[in-house]
Amino acid sequence: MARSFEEALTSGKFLIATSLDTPKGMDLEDLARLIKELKDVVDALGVSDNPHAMMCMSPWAVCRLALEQGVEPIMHVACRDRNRLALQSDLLAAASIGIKNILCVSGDHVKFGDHIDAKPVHDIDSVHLLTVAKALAEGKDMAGNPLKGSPALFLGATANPEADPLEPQLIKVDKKIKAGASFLVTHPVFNIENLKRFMNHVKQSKVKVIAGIRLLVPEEASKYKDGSYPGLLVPDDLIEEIKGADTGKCMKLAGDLIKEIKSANLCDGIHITAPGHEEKIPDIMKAGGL
Amino acid sequence: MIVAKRKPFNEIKELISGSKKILILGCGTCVAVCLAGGEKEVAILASQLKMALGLVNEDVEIDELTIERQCDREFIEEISTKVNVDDYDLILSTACGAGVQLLSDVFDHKVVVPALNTTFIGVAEGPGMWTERCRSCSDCVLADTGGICPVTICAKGLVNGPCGGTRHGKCEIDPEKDCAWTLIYNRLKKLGRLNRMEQALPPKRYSVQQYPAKIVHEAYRRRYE
Amino acid sequence: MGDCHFLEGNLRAKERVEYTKKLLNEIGLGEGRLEMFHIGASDAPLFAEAVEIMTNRAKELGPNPLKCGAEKAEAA
Repeated sequence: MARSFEEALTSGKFLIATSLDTPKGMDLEDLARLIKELKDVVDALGVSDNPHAMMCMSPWAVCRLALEQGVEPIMHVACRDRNRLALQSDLLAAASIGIKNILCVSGDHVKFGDHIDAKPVHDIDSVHLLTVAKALAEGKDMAGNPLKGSPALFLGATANPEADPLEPQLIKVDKKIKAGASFLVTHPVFNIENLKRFMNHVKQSKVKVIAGIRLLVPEEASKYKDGSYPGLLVPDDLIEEIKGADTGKCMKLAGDLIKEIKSANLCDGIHITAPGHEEKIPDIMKAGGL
Repeated sequence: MIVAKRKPFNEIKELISGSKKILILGCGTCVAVCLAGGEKEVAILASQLKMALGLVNEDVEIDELTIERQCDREFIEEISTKVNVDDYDLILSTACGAGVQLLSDVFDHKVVVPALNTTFIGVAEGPGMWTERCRSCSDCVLADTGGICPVTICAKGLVNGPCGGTRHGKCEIDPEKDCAWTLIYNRLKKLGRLNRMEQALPPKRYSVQQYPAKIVHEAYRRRYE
Repeated sequence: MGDCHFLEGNLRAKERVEYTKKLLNEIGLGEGRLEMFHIGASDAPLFAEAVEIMTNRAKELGPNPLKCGAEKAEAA
């Protein structure tokens, strides 16, 4: 097995991660094939937790698949679907099967998903989840009860450098870092100046930053514009550019951004997402000169 | 105040079906102010029902009465000075859920059904418009959030700042809705109290929310022992 | 529109007429018996036209079904 995600991240190497969605149903074959293709090209594999509030298989099952195939998973944990009891017990269960890297997120609102009448739980928020996970790692549950054996966890959080306004986002990021986030995976970035502004703020801390790179595709252009993808803030001129772009052009746009980030030495790595086009991830990396 | 909305007309028709003599009972407080269940709305609903039932030749007698408040026994007692409740098969109440329940308690031998869906605790923004402002969480954080409630206004009820979905200061779920945390940030900045936002707020204490909640004023304890 | 002696009174009235139409639809009477026309005080031809429209519509819709029932009951 390759170096752990934590080791890779602290080694100073420009880290490459991606994320996959779990299946809706029991069919793990396609996913297993995809993991096989990606495992030697990425340093870590994120596994989403009911992405977009769409009911899918719990991420720990796919994380285990990743571990079996020899690639280190980052399990996303959304506060949307579980209360503080369930969140903690799931963290313990995940750690028990070797899942160490946890990305603590609020979770897209249930309105975007396929169970719109579900109760959005949000018993605790992402800042609390980080605090709780850190406490578990230190041997205490959220109520202060001692644990018999504590989980080894490497904790991360999300942030959106494209958020408008940015300032409230930065205040929250500071809280996440203080609560125990060792790494940040950003929402997809499109404007390098926004990422610079963001990095200027967080670089005072020791947190590692993995910038989000999203493959934009013309067939989704209208959805970028109307806010169908929460947290995905694509500038209008880029949406126009994507509308008429062929596959090569789409890859190049993502690749150019990777090059720009890497050459400016802005952050510690990138997190590439290409929902529905995951097989293109190695080519996106190539386009980015990786 | 409590803000409510009339149920769909067909649902109300269904709720009263089979009754021959109905009392529509209005409430003159919150639901009168939000134009859902006051004297005027009772009159409109009575007329609508009379006509709708008349169209299908159903012979139903419908009376109207509006009292000051249905959430207070003192006012409910007045009903009997005005009508004989036993004359009616059914009481259709246009009060909030609290009023309907107290009415059912007092007249526990009568069928009492709601004509409204109780929706939120809110404020009047202007004539004909109300917005939700409070979730009655029993653990108020408004001092830390510039007088803007994230539990109510943020679609996810986040207490420590915005999610990543803020879109030009609007909420990810609806471009018409303000992002609560953008409002809070701007307000705290204006007040010179951004340090309030920099401190992490603890998780909500759901143990302080009793369901169903009950308060006995200290000076009145003896009566309820 | 909005050019009203009572400032925006005619716009408010229009909204309320729309609302009342909804109430009539819920009852099952249909909204056709109610209409609002914007007519200047001095615009006789437009007034005549509106009367014509409503007269024709009343004929088309026939007698008020609620009153019909009452008359039938009396006749019986």
